[in-house]
Amino acid sequence: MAHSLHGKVVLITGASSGFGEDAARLFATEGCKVVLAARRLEKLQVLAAEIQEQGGEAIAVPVDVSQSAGIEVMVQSVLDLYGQIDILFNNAGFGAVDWFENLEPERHIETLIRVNLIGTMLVTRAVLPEMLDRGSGHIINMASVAGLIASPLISTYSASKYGVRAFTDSLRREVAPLGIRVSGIYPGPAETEFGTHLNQQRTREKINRFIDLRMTSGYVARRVVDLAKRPRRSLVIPWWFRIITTFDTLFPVVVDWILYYFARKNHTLE
Amino acid sequence: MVSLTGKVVIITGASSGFGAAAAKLFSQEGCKVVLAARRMERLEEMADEIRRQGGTALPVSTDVTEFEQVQALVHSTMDEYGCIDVLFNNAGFGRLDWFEALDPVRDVQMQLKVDLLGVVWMARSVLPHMYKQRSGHIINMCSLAGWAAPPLYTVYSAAKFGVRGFSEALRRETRPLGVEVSTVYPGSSSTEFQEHVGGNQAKKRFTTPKWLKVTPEEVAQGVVSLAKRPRRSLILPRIMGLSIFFNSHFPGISDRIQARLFAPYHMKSMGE
Repeated sequence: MAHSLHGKVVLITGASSGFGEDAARLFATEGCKVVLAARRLEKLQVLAAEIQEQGGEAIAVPVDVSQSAGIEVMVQSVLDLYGQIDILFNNAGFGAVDWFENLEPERHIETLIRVNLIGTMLVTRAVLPEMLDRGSGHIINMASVAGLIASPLISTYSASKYGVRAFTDSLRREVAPLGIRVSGIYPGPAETEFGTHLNQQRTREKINRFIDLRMTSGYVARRVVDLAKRPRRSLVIPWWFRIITTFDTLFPVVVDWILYYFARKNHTLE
Repeated sequence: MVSLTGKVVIITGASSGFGAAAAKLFSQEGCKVVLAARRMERLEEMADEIRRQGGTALPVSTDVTEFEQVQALVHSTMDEYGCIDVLFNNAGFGRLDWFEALDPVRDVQMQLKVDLLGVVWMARSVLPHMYKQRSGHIINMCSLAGWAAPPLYTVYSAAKFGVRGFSEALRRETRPLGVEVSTVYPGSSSTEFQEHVGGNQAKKRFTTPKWLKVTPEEVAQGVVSLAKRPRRSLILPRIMGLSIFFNSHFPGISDRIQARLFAPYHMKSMGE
């Protein structure tokens, strides 16, 4: 049953752009108290001001989810202000798209895993105790279709999002009986800054044909808010990606062969 | 079926468990084994033992969470033997407890660094050499927890799901270029792993029955057979493929069953 989000405290990581930014606006329209968290404080402050102008309630808190110490301080400051966090939207993340041997060990492997996977866990780790005390709360983790199907060019991104999927499933099985909801969101390609952070122009052009399927970030954000109103275990957007991922689970060898063909045509060693 | 005689095999986490068992078997097959782990004394002992039996072994003290050490391991292997045929990416540990009871630094960050980042870094360091050779085989140690994420396994499953996703994606990139990638998914076994999982009460209650356990030797044999005849994956014991299938295709029912099984223990731990 759908319930009202009015007055709920929503913490959104990666709120300075993309899904996070759009979701923040929508949550504010629903009457939520929105806490905007990201590294770029100026961007957050502009967004918070915009939300306040339209009669909403929003505050900006700077945080780098790859740093554990800063996370606990940030969550504590939110709890001091509002007393509780009703919804945590773990949205911060970025991608690295290239053949594995071209990915940089620090930026495209370590930092990516630290932000996408460890960051999600550490923010949840900081927020969860208070939710457990109250016996209610909703944790929404941003995964990706790459967390359901692993494809060439996104080896480390897939690793991080598979990890988010496992974390989401395991945590739900731990805390659901204690009154806390945990959901995973698996969107396909969408129109966000994600695309502009892709490493190589050349590779980007190659996958442009695929990217052209992308959804608007606002659409994904709307689905996130719907999910907050009506909690479910998972949400694949667009829904028909489920067909592809189920096919991959049932017939991985067939998908292997299709992707080998793709790799054989496009993967050249320098 | 390829013969393994003379092949150069790097094994991480070689000082105990599956790694140590695999090191013995690979050297019996005539491989030159590079033993990598943090505990150098143990590696030295193992290397001596292998040499006594007429094998070739190179112990290299390595912490897979330090990229410089990962690179140094690959460099010393190349300096010593000139090529790398097989990487057995085996180092890992697990801390199993309620998520709110896990320590953010030691149990979350450290576990992810060893179990996932270490695996990816090793592959990243080895792959350019394998591409140059136009041959090679990366065998990643995963777990049944790479397929199903039950309570207590929040962080460990995240790492192992990550290894699975990484392996699948990597194979789809590398196989057309001559480099094989395989993944091993063993169930519960009696290795030092069990000494480090922690003392969770529910974990103690739900132990794996003996007939579902695998021995380190069985896992090592599976790994060697993979190296001889590359396949995409190996699930041990095979019967657990059924539970994987159930968990993948009926996630909602799996949620309810597992949540209900573990809930009493979790509530009890909250009351304390």
